[in-house]
Amino acid sequence: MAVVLLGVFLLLGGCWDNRSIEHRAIVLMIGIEPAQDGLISVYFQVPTSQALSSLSVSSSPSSASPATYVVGGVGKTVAQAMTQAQAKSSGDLYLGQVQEIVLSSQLPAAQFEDVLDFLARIGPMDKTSYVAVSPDPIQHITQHQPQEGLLPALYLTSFFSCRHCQEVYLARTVWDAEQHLQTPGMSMWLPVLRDHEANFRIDQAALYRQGQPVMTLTPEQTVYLGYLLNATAKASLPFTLHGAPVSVRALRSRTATHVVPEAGGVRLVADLKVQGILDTLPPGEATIANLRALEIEVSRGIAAQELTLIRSMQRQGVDPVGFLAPYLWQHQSLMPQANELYRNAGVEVRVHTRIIEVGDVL
Amino acid sequence: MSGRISIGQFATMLTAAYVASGIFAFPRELVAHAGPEAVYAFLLECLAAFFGLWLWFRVNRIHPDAPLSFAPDLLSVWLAFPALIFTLVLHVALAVVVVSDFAFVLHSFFLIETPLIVLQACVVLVAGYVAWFNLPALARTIQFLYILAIIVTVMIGLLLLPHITSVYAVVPTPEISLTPLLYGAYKGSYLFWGYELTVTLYPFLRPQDRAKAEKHAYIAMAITFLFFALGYVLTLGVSGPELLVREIWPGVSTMRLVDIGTFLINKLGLLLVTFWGLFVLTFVMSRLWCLAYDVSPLFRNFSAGWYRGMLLFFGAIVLWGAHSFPTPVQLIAFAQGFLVPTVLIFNFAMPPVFLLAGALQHRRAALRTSP
Amino acid sequence: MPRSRAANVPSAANSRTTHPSPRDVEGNASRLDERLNAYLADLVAQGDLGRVSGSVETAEGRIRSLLGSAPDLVLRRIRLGFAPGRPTLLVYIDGMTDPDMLGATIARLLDGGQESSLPGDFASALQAQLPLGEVEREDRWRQLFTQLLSGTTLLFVEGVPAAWMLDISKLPARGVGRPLSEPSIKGPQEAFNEVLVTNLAQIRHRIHDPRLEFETFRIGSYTRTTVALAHVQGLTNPDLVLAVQHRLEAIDRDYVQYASEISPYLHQHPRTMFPLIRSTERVDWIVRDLMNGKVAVLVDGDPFAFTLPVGMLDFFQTTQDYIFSAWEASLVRLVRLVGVFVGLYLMPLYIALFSVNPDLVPTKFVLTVAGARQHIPFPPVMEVAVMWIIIELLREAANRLPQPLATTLGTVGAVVVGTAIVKAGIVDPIMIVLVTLSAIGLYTIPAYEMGAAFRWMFWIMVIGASVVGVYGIILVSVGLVGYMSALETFGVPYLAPFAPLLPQELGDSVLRMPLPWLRRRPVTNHPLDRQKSRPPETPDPVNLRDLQGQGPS
Repeated sequence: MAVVLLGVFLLLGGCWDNRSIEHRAIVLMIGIEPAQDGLISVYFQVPTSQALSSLSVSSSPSSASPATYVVGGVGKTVAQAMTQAQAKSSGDLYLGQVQEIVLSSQLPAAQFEDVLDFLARIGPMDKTSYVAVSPDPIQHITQHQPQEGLLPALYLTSFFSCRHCQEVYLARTVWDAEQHLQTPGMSMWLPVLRDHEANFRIDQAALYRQGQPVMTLTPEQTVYLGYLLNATAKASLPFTLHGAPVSVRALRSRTATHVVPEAGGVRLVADLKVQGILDTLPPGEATIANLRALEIEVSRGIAAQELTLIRSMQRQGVDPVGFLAPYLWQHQSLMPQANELYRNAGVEVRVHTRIIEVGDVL
Repeated sequence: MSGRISIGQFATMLTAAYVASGIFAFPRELVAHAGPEAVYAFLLECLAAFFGLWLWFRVNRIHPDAPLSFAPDLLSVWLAFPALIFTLVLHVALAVVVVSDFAFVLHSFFLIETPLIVLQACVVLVAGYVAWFNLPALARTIQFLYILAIIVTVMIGLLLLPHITSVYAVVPTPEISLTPLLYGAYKGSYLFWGYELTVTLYPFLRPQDRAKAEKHAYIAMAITFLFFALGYVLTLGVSGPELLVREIWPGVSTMRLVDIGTFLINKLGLLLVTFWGLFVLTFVMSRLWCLAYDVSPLFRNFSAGWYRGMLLFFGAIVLWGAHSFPTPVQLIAFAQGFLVPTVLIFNFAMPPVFLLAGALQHRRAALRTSP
Repeated sequence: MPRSRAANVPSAANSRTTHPSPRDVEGNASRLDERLNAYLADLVAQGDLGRVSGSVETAEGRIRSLLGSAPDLVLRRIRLGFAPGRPTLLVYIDGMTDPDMLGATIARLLDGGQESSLPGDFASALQAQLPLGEVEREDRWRQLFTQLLSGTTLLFVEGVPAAWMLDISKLPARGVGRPLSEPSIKGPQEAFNEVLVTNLAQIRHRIHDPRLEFETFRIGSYTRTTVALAHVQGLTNPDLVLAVQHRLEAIDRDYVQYASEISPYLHQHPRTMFPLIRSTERVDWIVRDLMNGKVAVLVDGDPFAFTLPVGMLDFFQTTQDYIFSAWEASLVRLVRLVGVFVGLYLMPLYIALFSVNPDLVPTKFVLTVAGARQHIPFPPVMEVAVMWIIIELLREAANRLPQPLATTLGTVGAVVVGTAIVKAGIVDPIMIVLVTLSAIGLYTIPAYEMGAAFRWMFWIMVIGASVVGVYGIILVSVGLVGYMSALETFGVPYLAPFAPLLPQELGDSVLRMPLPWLRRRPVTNHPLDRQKSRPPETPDPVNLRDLQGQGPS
């Protein structure tokens, strides 16, 4: 009897990991930026209890009160900062449901790697949460409330998880970041998250070298990188046909890359199979010959852009596509001069375009 | 403890006795040491396992009705007793490693604040409880749970297919260098630790079933081989070689990526890791049974009471052993530094000794009967 | 009831000591004296106390001395038509005898020719004179008393050292009713009743074969209840029959009223939480099991019979599964399986997922539940406990009340309490959904007795879930499987055909394959003949349209 009673009290008291959900501060977004004196600031975004209550009775949160609050801490490491933040929150900061991690682009390489190491080591942290980088003040980003009425982190999750809503599928998870950081012959890239008046703006990619962003691509460049990564879904590009402007949209590609050994180095080959829908064309011009000419024009245009992009990435020594990764795995002895190999490699881009739809008019 | 087991139960019990030792760490050592030759190292490992199992079945056939963990009439007491001690130490060490490893997995991913000892005790207690009844009941339980765990694992594992990014790492390399291959196979040989359970289990087969049971054990091993091959493709393809060798539990880390947002429990992969507890439990149950039963020849009247006493005793030792590893780092060092060579010696040096002794005995008996 | 007196037991060895008050002493002494006289007469005539002496006087004395004060005992002296010189005594219990049959019997005995004109000895002559029906001769008093008290009419004739037992009993019984505890939409609607003979007839009605055998046992030193063991010879394993016989014979109890009182004596796990006997009032269920090579045990006075051996699966099957199509039957069985899972796992999962492992659940779901729980003062375990107690109270109260009231109570309880407790902020609304689903889930198990085991298991599961979350649920489940794997009845594993895995038996387990495919009896019963049906010879396709000159073209 005594044992039973003891057991019951233990159960009701909640032991070890048994902590009811309402007593946890469910962190949805983590923002990390460098602070002064080599310290690191960490912000935890947690939904407010009003926002949670309104979720359960399926009404939209009242605009009067904010849906989330942010607790932050500063420390030498992320863990230290987290301890400091914990002191400011009544609930247990719970990381099992983190949706989004926003890193400042100002983070120095050493701190960046510390952060990723921390994220990799902490057990309950979900490896499928999204990572983004932002040049804006991180505290501001974490406090931003999107106008769509969703919780900010859920807004970003919806955005990132929808593969075909974005022009370029820019979602990166902690897992992807870790993998790219570890794999030789591959550079990490992250989407750039910017504070926009209504919601957020995400249409650029930042390329990293050794934990340091060295290139932030323009939205246009990002589209071309997307082709190489098979991540572009909705691009719409302008071309000219016989001097008249035409546009092709929903261009997407299937890209295969490989490396051809050459005397004294390697050649990087990217093979793009592009498909697109004809958007605008002067009336009456939709003939087989014209379409064929357009296809060649599109292929040529894309190839030129890709070549420029790859060359510029080569100059910076970043390779988000991972041209060399399979080659290095097979030829492990080449690892030490991998960077040299990449920078000096020849580049070949082959594009084959097909127009698969012309719309309802000839 | 009496009772016979069926062919299917023998095959599953024998298989369940080795799956848990490898499933969490596989294929880290293979990839770390064999690099691009990991596939070949894996194949070599499997061949070695088949050979090892074949050897033990040869040994079993010397005295198919008696467990050979303690065989004084075959080896003489001077050799039989150390052999028994060796067997016991090995089984305890295997159980310790698996219990400890799984407790670390749970502690790292699920139950961060629950003390390790509680997690370890849970495994040992439940495994001991199931082993408490008798061998047929144990065999039935293992059959049920093991098959369930395999099916669930394969089903959820297949959900990882879209996450495969590093196809290049899975493709076998045409150039083979032997040294890393052999070293990788040696370091990764923990994958099939445990089939030596047949030493004790074999006599519980019905005499007419034995030949067929051996065949089924090979088939079960072949299925396990395919299962691990799938695991190899998934973990390596998803993690990529460089990240994989840094992970303590590549299988777990990879499985965590399975996320079905529209389901009631979206982290099915993480849930699956708790299901792997079934592999651990079946492993520990069969090992505890084996330990408690192996000492039976030392007692004149080995009753159910003695069996249960021994079960408690070895359960306590396993728990104590498992608790003596403070972090996975020490555990990996112990497994790689001590257990890998020990198990290899046990599996490939012991059977020849038995077989030689058996041949000598046979010859002596033949001389005696001939006029 | 005077029969409750210890003195009524014929054998002195079986009598128990009672302590009569002083004023009873005188009466007791005179009764003892009477009885001693009667015994003495038997002893003198037969040389044996336990046998009938042949003197009607003595017999009457002996019966009167034992049952004398019983108001329903009738002792009637008649004069045999064909042997007026021989005093004859007819003894029966009023209310247990069919008055019409009794009248006819007496009429037959009263008329008739001369004793000397009848062929053969007197005994066979009398036998010929008796009406049709079961007539047996018996000279052991112990048997006679047992028979008399179970409704048989006894006939003593002067000079014959035995009595005839005429089976013209008509026991108080209700008619054959519908199986209320196991209703079925289609198929036979016939249930057993409290009279064993009727029950046996119901089985016979379905198996017209001499190989159907009944063997009866008398169990209970006071109640002398008839227990029948049924099996089909040539089909049921004789070892099983023998084992059940031995165990039935070994039962030593004062009384037996219900089948469930003897079932624990028939298996080796009397302490187990799980039912090892599936009792049923459905005749067709018993017949199905008999035809599958099991034995059936029926107890007089209890409309619930059971069959042996059983496995876990038997508790999840109904006869209806064989009436509907394979698709429907399989669907229904899957639903039951889901029911058990829901009933057993839903609430523990709620605790595990929202107290211990919230990382397994989609974020939106976690946030919704967290929102619903914002103002709940108790942890989920407490909520579960409160709700489960409410459900159990409602369940038991509804069982005790008459049907119309029970329905009202259920509705009122569920709706009013459910709504109020949520409004009061003691329990969150999700919990109401879960508790309802759990309660309904366990009700899908066709055998009521299985539900109780799962209701206990539920609590162990809750404890496991709240200590180590999902992992705890798995641990408890493993322990549960281990425990159930160790259960056996007559060597038949409880979890067969899953543990041990018997692939050939899976056709009639979670799914039910079309009946022509189920050609074999379950191997677990070790029947003598495993073949149940032969594969149909593929008939030539008969097309009615093509039949000569018939019908429209």
